[in-house]
Amino acid sequence: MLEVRNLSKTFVIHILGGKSIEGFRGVSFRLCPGEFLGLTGRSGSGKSSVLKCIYGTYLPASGEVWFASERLGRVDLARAGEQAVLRVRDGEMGYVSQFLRVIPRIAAADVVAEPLLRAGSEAGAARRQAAALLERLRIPARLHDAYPSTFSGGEQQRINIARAVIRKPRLLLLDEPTASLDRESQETVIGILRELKEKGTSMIGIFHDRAALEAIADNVLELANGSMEHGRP
Amino acid sequence: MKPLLEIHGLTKLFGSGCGHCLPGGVSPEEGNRCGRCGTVVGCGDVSLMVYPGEVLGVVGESGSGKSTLVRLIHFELDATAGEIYLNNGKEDAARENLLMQSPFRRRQIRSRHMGIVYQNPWLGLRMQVSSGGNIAEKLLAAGWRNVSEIRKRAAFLLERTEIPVNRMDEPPANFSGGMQQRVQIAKALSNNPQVLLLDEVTTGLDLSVQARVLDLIRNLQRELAVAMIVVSHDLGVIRLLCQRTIVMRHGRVVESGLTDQVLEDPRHEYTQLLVSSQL
Repeated sequence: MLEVRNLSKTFVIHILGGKSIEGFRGVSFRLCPGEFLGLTGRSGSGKSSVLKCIYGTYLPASGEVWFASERLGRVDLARAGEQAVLRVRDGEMGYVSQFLRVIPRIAAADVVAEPLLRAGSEAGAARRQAAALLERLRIPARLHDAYPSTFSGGEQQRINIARAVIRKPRLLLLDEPTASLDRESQETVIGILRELKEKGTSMIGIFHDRAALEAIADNVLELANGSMEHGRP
Repeated sequence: MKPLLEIHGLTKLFGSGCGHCLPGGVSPEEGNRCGRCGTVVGCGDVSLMVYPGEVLGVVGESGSGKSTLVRLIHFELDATAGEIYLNNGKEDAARENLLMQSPFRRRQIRSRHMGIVYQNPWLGLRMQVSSGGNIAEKLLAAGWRNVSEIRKRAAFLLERTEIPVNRMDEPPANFSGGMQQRVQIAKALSNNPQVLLLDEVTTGLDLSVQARVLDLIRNLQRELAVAMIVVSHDLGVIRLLCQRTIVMRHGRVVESGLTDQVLEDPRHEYTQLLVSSQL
């Protein structure tokens, strides 16, 4: 599904006189369909940067990111060009960040339904599907018409997850998806991720919480001083 | 996939130019004004593509050439050099550099295939003519002739942009800033344009109105799958609307990429400064 080869990232900061800061280096791994790879390491070790390089939010300094796309065939996302990355993001690759960023004053259910509408779903059906997913994530129906910006951190996090999984992407990148959730919500999220995994979605996740990681990860990759070590959870 | 709009080497110099700065204006290192003859580079060697259904953002500080670029594409200014192609989707259509066409042909292309929304509604609307009349004017230019159909289309568009249809016969001068902006959007979309140009459309609106206009633009974009160029100095607006973004400075494109990449991993010195200056 995904093969990352010798991926590295450096940032050149012009404000600091062109100083070069290393994000991570020499990261390689393979990910099979339905496999969950956990990324661990201290904060600042480059975990989020690895996810962002795969998603295309960061431009890798070197290395390859081979993704087996359904639409485009095998494609190196590190070199594929903007249009190809956009097409892969549109339905095949999802990303859950730590923070929710949405247009103000859009109802929660509409935020979650939007990816379906973009894919051409009928509005009523998309909203019903979004409502069902939110319900499952313990966002009660009375909040579906409210604006996510007024929600608690944990609720916003679940909106973020709902939006990323509603189209069942084939590759899902998760950056601390359960960080601000209580135990029960965390278990619900893990349950949803497990279902996706069983249907073949591959995932790479950063989890703050060791128990959550052990509950779902098949393999673990530890980043230390910007480079990597393989292991089991 | 073929690009819908293709621009190559688009250049606009304000001034006569001299031996020091011709052909393309002073070098980017010198800024945008020639020290010898005073010629200013409004737009220097700008190339870009817009794909069908795509929203392209243009950011940069005031004076960076964003609006000049939009006005060149809309044929409001005559380019000094460059090529613009608008692919109408027909494979066999002759590829014509629009900048080489007659003024009449360019007006025709603009009326039929382009829409524009300005920051200042006074530029896009006749304030004393009814809102319906403003839309009718654009439709007439695009070749519509049947009065009852024009009226129906105007009513439909005003409804879509949340202007009460019973106010269709009122002039925009009676409306609030947010409403005027929505009438402009209705007018710009009336001819089902291939490309919609939005020049700082939410700048100056208060926050609640801004959110509503942004939401409207996003919904219309999704429903109509119209390609857009969104000019804004507000990085938040760009993040919410655009898949790809170009960054301009001194009339030149200094960086381009996926919007999240440009905003989170900017490479050019100027983009880094711009992004780190955001509140």
